[in-house]
Amino acid sequence: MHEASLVAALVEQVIALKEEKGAQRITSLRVRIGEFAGVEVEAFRFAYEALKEKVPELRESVLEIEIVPGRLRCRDCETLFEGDYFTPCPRCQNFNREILSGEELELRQVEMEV
Amino acid sequence: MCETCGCGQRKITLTVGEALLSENERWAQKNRAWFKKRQVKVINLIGSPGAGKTSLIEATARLWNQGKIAVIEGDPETQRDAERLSALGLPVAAVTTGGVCHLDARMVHQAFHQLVETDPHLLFIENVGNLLCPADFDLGEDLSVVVLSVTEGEDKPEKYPQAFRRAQVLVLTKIDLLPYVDFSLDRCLSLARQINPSLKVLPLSLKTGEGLSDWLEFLRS
Ligand SMILES: Nc1nc2c(ncn2[C@@H]2O[C@H](COP(=O)(O)OP(=O)(O)OP(=O)(O)O)[C@@H](O)[C@H]2O)c(=O)[nH]1
Ligand SMILES: [Mg+2]
Ligand SMILES: [Zn+2]
Repeated sequence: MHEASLVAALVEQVIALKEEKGAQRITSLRVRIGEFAGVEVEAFRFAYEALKEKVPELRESVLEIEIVPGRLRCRDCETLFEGDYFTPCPRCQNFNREILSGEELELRQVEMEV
Repeated sequence: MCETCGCGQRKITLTVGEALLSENERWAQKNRAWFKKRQVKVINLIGSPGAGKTSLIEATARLWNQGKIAVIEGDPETQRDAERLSALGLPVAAVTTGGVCHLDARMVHQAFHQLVETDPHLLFIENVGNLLCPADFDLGEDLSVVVLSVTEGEDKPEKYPQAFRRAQVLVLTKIDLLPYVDFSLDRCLSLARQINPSLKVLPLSLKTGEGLSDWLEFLRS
């Protein structure tokens, strides 16, 4: 379960921030997930809900997920387009592309009570 | 809420913008610097259970004559693969991950402490058998290799694109079994190259030895 490993990393990161700021508990966190980062959003949410029960400082927290669309640019003709790993350049039909966004896995914002 | 109830608690909002795996990334950078200083080339082998990762290390070790090989062996529960490799006289650091489905950079860091004295030139990291999670974790390696056997099916690049995107090399194993399975080499390679146009592909069989010299040649260069 790859979402579980990511959520475990997320929780560790958030708890470290909480300690650093001397906060009491976390009220919300916002995560950015790229459309083709290979993350099943429902599984991610499920893993978070399961883990937060075990961490008192997180028990009341709300997880917000922001999906980042996949954007690509052809290295040959510079065309910008949307898609994923399997989308060729709409002009030259080849796969020599640069991925501009869509692979994000990022903690964006944390709200906590001090 | 607290402004109204007067409990004295205050809310703060932090903008973070850090990758979820940034802690792993810090360890990976540390490893990379360490490996460079020790002049060891590090290869991270990622593949499903039974793809042929341990067999590939064994075959390489038997034929290698360009300096010392050491192995970090990730296994969720047992030490069996570590024992197979020790039997060949290789220094092996076994990381029993206790059910965790991947190695992370910190585990590799700790494991390398056990091996650094043997002064290896080439370090293989056999990741936990899994084509999914290990692809998320940079270990500080020089080369990331996907080990895929033809019995797993040609659609694997499509199902596990992250592993193929990260890798520089695809080692396609068990090609001696091609006559017995429906596996289109062309289809598999075309999918893999869509994700990663510069992916190097090395088909081989450890049973017949076919393709093994290309792999060794590649490692030498
Ligand atoms: N026919 C054939 N069998 C192979 C080949 N390479 C490996 N095998 C067999 O495949 C099985 C699994 O090989 P391993 O090397 O243990 O696979 P692994 O990837 O290390 O497996 P885990 O560590 O459990 O994830 C063994 O029975 C090997 O003998 C090959 O090229 N051809
Ligand atoms: Mg093995
Ligand atoms: Zn184009």
